[in-house]
Amino acid sequence: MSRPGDADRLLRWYPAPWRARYGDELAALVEDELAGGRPGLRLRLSLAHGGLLERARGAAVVGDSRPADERVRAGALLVLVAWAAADLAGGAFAKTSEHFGASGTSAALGPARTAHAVVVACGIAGGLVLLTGALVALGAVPGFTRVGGWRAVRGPLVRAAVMTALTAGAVVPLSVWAHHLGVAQRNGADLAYGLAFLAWAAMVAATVGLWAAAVVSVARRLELGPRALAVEAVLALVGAAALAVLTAAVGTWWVAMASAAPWYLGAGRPGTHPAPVSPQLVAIVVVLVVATVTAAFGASRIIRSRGALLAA
Amino acid sequence: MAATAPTGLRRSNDPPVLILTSLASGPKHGHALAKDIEAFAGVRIGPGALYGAITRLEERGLIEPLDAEDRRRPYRITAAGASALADAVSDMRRIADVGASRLGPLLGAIG
Repeated sequence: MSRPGDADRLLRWYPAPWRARYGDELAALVEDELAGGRPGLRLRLSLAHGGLLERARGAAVVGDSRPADERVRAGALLVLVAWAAADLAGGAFAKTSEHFGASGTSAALGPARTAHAVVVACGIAGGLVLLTGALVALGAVPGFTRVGGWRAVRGPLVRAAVMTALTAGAVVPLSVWAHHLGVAQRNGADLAYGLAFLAWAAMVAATVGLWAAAVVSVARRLELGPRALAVEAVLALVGAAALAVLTAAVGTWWVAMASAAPWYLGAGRPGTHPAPVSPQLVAIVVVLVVATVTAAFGASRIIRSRGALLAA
Repeated sequence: MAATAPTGLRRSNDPPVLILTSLASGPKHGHALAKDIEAFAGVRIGPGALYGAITRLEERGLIEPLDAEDRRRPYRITAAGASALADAVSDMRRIADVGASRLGPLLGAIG
């Protein structure tokens, strides 16, 4: 038996403006489909997919129902979100590739060193792109606050700030704990410390995610002029290209290290040949590939929508 | 591969084409649409996909809402919707005709 309100609960996937227009009739359709029964997986998936698609359309991420300037902005914000994820993967890569230069001879590590230098250069380029994009958007912030925009974004900003404070606060006890441990204990031998470090890493990920959400929340509401939007679009295209090169360079570094010093990747001893795979590296590459695909989607949306923008 | 017409309609069994085809016989609300489409096309469209298509069709002015009856809002096809459906049907008929004419000799040879 379906319970009263089942259909309304299932419609929570949809954005509020859409629910205000179509919610009642879709709820009636769901009740007719259920005919007193419980909602099955197929029905739930249909509504979840439909709701997320409407949210994506409302944010101008998919479809052509929103104006071209909103689609360009959505594409640029996708690149921004992709870089937020890449930052996390980049931090993990920095830790994974720590001291790799001492794992073999200069000649053997040449390709890996080159790939690592490209990763660093792309990381710096991405940082500069994000910084420039923020500076360009800064001009619209006073107008945004004058019309009361602060109220709309206060929640995401406060959540991000609180999470930042918690993460920063957790560094102190973690550092004190680490100070009393040996190298082996800090690198997996001490289970409790390992779990605490993972929890802190999750807090860092949550902090980056919440700041990305807060920035997107603000950026979606800023009144950007055509010139500023064009600059943001170009920056996003450069950022997407830099991310693609960075991901390729990480992959190249992995292959080069697997060839020159597989023991380093497999956490073995010099001269041994363990499988050159580590869970961290797999996770890093997966995150980078997903981020690159997301950025490429955003870039293609900018390129396709810029035509419509110029035509308008 | 399905081509997309200027109205956004494709030549395949897409929900928008099925909805317009169903509404061509008269206004219907969501559940009646789903039942009718299942009956004439053998396609079961989930509520999410059905209302996604209804939203797009209404945005493009190909269908329009009527007054709701106990939360169930019927839709009817507009003149633009009828024209778009006619174009889509014409495309499908052309492909069906080509398929039938090319299939004839083949089936004859097999038979």
